[in-house]
This record gives sequence, C-alpha cells and structure tokens, in this order.
Amino acid sequence: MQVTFKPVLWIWLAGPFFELGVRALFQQLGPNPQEALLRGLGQQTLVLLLLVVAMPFLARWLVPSILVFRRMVGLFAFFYASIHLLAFWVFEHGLVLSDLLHDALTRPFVAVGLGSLALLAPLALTSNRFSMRRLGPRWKLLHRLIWPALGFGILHYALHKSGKNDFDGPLLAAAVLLVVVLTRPNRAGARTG
Amino acid sequence: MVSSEITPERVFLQRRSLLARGSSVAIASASTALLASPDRAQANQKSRGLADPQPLSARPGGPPLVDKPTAWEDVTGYNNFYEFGTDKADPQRVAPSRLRVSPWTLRVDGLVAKPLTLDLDDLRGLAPLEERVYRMRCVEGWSMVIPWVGYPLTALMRRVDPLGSAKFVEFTSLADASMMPGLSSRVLEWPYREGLRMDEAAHPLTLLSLGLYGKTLTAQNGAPVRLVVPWKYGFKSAKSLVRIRFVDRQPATSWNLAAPQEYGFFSNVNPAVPHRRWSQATERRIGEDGLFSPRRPTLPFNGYAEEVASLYRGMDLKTFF
Repeated sequence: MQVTFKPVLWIWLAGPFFELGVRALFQQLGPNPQEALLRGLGQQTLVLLLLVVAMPFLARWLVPSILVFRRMVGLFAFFYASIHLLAFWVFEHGLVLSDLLHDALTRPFVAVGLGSLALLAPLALTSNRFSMRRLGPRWKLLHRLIWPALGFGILHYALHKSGKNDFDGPLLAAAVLLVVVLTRPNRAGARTG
Repeated sequence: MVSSEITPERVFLQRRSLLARGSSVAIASASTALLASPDRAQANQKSRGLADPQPLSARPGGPPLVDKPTAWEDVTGYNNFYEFGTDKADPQRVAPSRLRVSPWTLRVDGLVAKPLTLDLDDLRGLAPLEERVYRMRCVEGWSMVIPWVGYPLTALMRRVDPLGSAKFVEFTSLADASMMPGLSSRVLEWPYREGLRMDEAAHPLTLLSLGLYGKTLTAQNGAPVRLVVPWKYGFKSAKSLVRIRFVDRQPATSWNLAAPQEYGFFSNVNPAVPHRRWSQATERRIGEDGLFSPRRPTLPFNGYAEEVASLYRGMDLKTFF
C-alpha cells in the first residue's frame, strides 16, 4: 500500500503549490494576485500543520499505517510556510531585510507568523533519521515545538482576520487543534512507534 | 510624461462606449444562443427592481488624471461592501441578484431649509452628469482608478439649502436584511454610516455618484447612488445611500465605532500616519504591473493635496487621522 500511496499523497500535498503557480502564470488569481498567493500559501500551511498533529488521531481511528507519512506532511507544511514568508517578503518589502525586520518589530501579526516559522525550522532540520538517532529521547522533546508553532500559526491567522471580525476560520482551526489535543493517544505514558 | 502623449479624453471615452457596445452585442448574442430571450430577461430584472447597469451619458469633468483606469472586471469584482459579505468577491456574487434599487428614495433632511425626498429620476435630473476619473485608495493598502459618473454634492446641497447651524453631513446606507445577508455579521453597526465636515462635503471634488464606466452603478459598487470622496480612504465613500442628513455635531461613523483607534473620523489618505496594524506608506495598484512589481508610494491626500490640503490647515493630521 505504501509504495502506491506515497506518490498519490505527494501529488495531493504538492497540488496546491502547482495550482497556485499555474494560476499565477495564466493570470487567473483574480484582481489581487499577490494577496491570493499569500492567502493560499498560508492556508495550506495551516491545513498541513493541523494534519500533522491529527495524524496519530486519524491513525488510531482509520488507518494505522498513515503515520509513516507524517514526516512528509510535516516537511510540506514547512515548505508552504517558507514560501508564504518568501512571498510576503517579496510582495510587501521587495526582499529588503530591514523592512521585514521593522515590520516584525511593529506588527504583532507579522511577529507571530515569523515566530511560528522559526519554531518549525528546527523540526524540519532534524526530520532525518540521523538526527533522530543523534538526539535520542531529546528528539521527541524538541518536536513538541509543533504545538506552540501551530498555536502561533492559528493566532497569526486570527490576527489577520481580526480587521473584519471574522473568526470562523481561526475558530475552526482552534477547534480541530482542541479535539486532537484532548484525544491524544498515550497522553500519560511514552509513545511507541 | 507630457500631456500630449496621453490619449485625449474624448477618444478615450469613445473607445469605452465602443467597448460597451461591443460587449452588449456579445451578451445579447450569447443569451440568444442559450435560447433565452434577452428582452424577457431584462424585463424580469426590471420588474424585480434589480440594478442592471444601463448607459449613462456624461460630459468629462474634474481634474485630468494620467493614471490608467482600472479594468471594469476588477472595479466590479473586488469590492468591500460588507452588507453582502466580507470577502471581496462576495459583493459581485451576491449583490446583483439581491439589491433592489427600484423603487428607491433618498431622504435629504436635518438642518436644511428645504428637506427633500428624491427618487432615481429626481436624482438623475438634479444636475448635469460628469465623468470624473478618480484615484481610489482603500485603507487596506490597495488602490484603483475609477471613472465615476455623477455630480458634485454641492448641487444637491444647493437644493436643500443647509442652515447656518449645519456643521456636518451624515450619510446613511441601506440596511435591509431581506436583500443584504451580510447584515447578520457583527463586524459593524448597521446601517452603515459615514460623515463629512460641511466644508469637505461642499468641496468641488466630493461627488454624488450615480454611475461608473459610462453606465449606472452596479449593485456591488453601491447602486443606485453613492458618495465618492477621492482624498479619503475608500470606506468614507458610503454606498447605496438612503439618507443624507445635515447636523450640528460630528456624526458617529460605522468604522470609527467599530475600532476608534484604527479609523478616525477624517481618514484622509496619509502615508505618514500608519494604520495601527500596517503601514500606509505604499499601495498595490489593482490590475496593473506584474506579480513582482514593487508597491507604489501612497500620496498625501491620495494625490489631491493641491485641491484639499487647505481644508486642514493648522490641524495636526496625526491627531485627527
């Protein structure tokens, strides 16, 4: 199953990236393409981060073997987050670092988003087998950073939506997170597998 | 750029009416192809009182503008009109089939000698229609260039004859839940209200708009009658007006009530005064340039400083933002 499922999952995960790319190329992103790209990439980041933390839950109730794909989903989440930042930096600041930093210092919305990505970076860097062996039990500890990263991500989304007082999306994300947290398998003991 | 390089306005206007004619032919033939009678469709729309953009002739007016008008598709497809939803695609999706503009009445009253109730015909006949190509800067950091059709608000003010005690003007938009699903959201206090100081309302740039791109206003752009104040952020230009009231004190305005620290009463376009949550120094011109073009600098008073800066002489624009 793994052998056939992996490429399918890869295509599903990469799909939104290619879709946005093709729509950008053919000018099908609407009147404000920069905004459409930023929002599309941000939304996909959040969806995949939620999927990463929900996978043990899904594995327990649906297909146990999906856990082997968790790294791939996590790396795609980091990929979308990175492109999201890059797009923001290009569109808003023309890749001027000082402008980005000034923005981060003056706007909580930007700071929280950057914070989330900063927490995800070490997870992506240590997602290989070598790091797992090297870090041993500390690896699991380190990878608990996914929780604050996701919390910051949802807060970033909520701050973005606060101007229109429209919290449906952020509340939905928070609800998914809450369900996952409350139903975590083996919450007390150490996890195996 | 020298002005001789710019397409003369008359040629430009003809080009647009040619385009409009071409597209209505295309629409007519398309609906014939779909075996629908265009006449019946139009009659249906009329009987339901929906805003169906009709040609509206106007002579050129206002200060000349070198900026290229934003495409019709963008002007009518990317709107903030929360009464029809907060997503910028919502107004185009929802408003045309819901907003009934006929019959319509605009009540003009308050501190005036001759209060008036105007219907659409009254409004269209009140003063000669002008086409005014204005920049429109949204507080969110994007901008458009829009060829409005209308006349200066002063034309209406002369009819009602404001009293000396009138110091401000309050504008109220329609709030009808049977047409406007967005009213169920709690983003703003409904009805949508905006306001101007008397001298701002009487400024020759302040427009009462009945049309757009040589046609009557589309529903999503604020049919059948709206305000346009080009040197202020877009939200000051209230749509689908049902009441204009002359008052003696500064009226409460919807966005100011929702977030007073973010949206001031004046809300003049000002690159030097950032919004609480973002800079106002630059803007993204919708539909122009490529994906990677830099944002363009925002101009004080949206480029109308020469005309309007004197209204605010001596005022600290950081305090009165």
